[in-house]
Amino acid sequence: MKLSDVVSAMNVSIFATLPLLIFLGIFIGVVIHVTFEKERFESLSRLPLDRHQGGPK
Amino acid sequence: MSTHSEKFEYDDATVRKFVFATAFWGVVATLVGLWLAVMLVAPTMNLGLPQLSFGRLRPLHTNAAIFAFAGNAIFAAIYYSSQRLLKTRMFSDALSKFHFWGWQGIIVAAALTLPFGITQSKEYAELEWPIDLAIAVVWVAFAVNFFGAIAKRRERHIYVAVWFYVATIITVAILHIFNNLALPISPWKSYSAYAGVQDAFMQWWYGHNAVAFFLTTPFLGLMYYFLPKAANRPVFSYRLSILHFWSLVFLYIWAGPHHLHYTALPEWASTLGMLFSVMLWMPSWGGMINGLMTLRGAWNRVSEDPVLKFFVVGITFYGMATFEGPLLSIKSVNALSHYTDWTIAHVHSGALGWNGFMTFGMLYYLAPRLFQTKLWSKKLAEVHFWIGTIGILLYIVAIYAAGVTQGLMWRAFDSTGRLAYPDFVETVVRILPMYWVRVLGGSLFVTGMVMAFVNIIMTWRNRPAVYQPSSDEAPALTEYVGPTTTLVIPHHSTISDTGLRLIYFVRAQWHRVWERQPLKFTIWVAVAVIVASLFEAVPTFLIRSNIPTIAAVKPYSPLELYGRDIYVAEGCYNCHSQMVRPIRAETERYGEYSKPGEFVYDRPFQWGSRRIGPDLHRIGGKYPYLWHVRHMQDPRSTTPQSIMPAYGWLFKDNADFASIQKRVDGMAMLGVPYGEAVLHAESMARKQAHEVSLEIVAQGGPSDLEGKEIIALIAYLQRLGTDIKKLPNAASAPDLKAESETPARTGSVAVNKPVLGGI
Repeated sequence: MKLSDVVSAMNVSIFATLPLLIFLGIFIGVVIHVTFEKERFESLSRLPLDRHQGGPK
Repeated sequence: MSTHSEKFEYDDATVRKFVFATAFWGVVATLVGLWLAVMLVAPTMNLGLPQLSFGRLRPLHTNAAIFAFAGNAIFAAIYYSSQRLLKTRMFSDALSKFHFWGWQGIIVAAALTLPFGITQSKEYAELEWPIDLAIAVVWVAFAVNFFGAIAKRRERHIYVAVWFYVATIITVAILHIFNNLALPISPWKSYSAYAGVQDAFMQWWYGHNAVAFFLTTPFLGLMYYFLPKAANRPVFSYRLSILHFWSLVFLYIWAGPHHLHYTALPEWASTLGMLFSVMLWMPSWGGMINGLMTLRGAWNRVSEDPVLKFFVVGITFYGMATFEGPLLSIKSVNALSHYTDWTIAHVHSGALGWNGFMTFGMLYYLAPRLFQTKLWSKKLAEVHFWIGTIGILLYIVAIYAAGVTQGLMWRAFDSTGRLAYPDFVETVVRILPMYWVRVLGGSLFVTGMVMAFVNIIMTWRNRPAVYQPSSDEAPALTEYVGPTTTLVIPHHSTISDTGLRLIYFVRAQWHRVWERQPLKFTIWVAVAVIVASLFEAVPTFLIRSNIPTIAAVKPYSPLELYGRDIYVAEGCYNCHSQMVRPIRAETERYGEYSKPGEFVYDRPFQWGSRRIGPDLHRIGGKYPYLWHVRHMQDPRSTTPQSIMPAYGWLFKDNADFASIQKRVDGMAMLGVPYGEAVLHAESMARKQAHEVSLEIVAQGGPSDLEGKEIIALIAYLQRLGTDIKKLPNAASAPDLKAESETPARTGSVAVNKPVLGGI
């Protein structure tokens, strides 16, 4: 059995559904991440401006 | 962490060089574009020179705009901002020099090859294999220099602009390598490793993501650094920038198939491309809003500062283009817009408005800092802003109108149910006034570009005798001891292991680790891009039902293959598609719609993306041979209002019959079943050329064309799209194995017996 046999036998919708779920998972993860660390991100937003002091280490 | 500060100097010399190159190539790219716009209204302006013909010159314009102008701009941005954000000099001055001069060498090589018809004919990837190899080497040097700088940085957190640069470097490398896989048959000619539908899929996977990861992500990095600097305001929302980044990286890579709606690409693939394209609207606008809101509290300065003016309009064009992109990806909209100037207007709104204006803003910001003097003329920069803005608006409004007008004319039916404009040239003549407005708008934009170049040069002339070193200081980084990916369970914990893992995930410390550990971060960006690509590519390549076999479809004869290579070299795909969509207006105009199985021997595919002239997929046999002779010699002799240039040189240049054998051998190596042709390609080609020549003479044409390139091109055109029309008994006729005995593809000649009434 070849790989093309396997892929040809699959329903093509799986190639859209699976990555959409993966994207959704990652998206939710990133949203949670940015929600929990508001203060840290506010300081990071100044990074280009802090020429001589550097940002948070 | 060490508290001892280290002093170091930034490498601004390399940035200065990239700034000069940006301004110079910007003038060249836009001048070539303007020349092309003029040729569309005055086709004889190529002066009869093949090197100046539209088909050969258009790739030079697009490549110069993307890789020379925008490319040098993003390198200037990356070299300047990365050093300051990472608090370090670039990894290696030698690599910086190699990168700069190597890239300029590649641009010069492009300028020397494309006008001579040396091309792969894949849009924005036209350059032939030796130059592709050079691009790979220079890109790797750039990557080593960039990641080396990250490795020796003094700033722990990697700012979001650098994330966008990482995504650019990784993804462009992947796109470049896989789209350009080809079999070289000579120093300046190769055949794509992919054929037909799969080649089209790979090309637009590349083509769309070249826009995404060469013209969008690095410019977003530029925006996230230079806009806060110019406005002296922090980014409006750093959290939004993170969402912006991951959403773009994950979603963009899927969008390519929306360039192939209603073509022979499987419908599921184009639908998938459409869905992800529509989803892209949200993160794109998140980025635009983040950019514009960064100016909160600084809007009063916009009216006084040309840098901020350029940034504001540039970001606004980003918002317009990223709204319009998803709109155009919707199938019903695309059915109207595709192949028309609507796409050209969309592209120029992005390229001139977003890429151009962000670049100008950066150049005017950098010039006084890099040359350590005042900008030569702030007033000239202001004039540039207004003349550039008016130029873009004139250009795109005219071309939007042209696109919609022509698209509607193509699909218009009269009350009897026939095409309202059956003659394609009618739809061309109608939009010519808009093409003149484009020339005007383009002229204004080029004038602004020249102003920027003069301003940069004059500022440079006012530089001090010796530049002050651009020095900085920061403590070195010590070993990172922050959150790690290793889960530590406290000894007295009453929370279960799973609970702790959940807390760890919810607090998303994994992302915090990524942000500070560039290797892991880079790997995950690469994984996101590769996995998304594979989800589309694997089924496209492996599902057999995607490309049903058509028994009647046979390989091109050796002469037709050579003619096809001439078609590719002349860049005919820049004005003609080879894809009849399953839309009634198209089947009425051109004939039966194109099937995936008809392209299995097409390396590279020639579906095109714009119809300045009509589709050619069913042109074979539609006109007599003599019609093609006259049309190619003087298009206005057969179509009085045609804007196609004459191809006089094809009647003078001798056909290179000796090269045909290796062309056939190359195709055979890629799996094309050439049978006996691999032994007798040249003699077969000569015999078919003789027969075609006799046919032309019999129709009253000239008798001296047998050894000329035009014969091969006409043989190819007469073959196009004819296989599927053959009768079942013709379909089962012997393939090319038999042609060693009856060498010329006389079947094509016989089936497509000339119809003189077509003249």
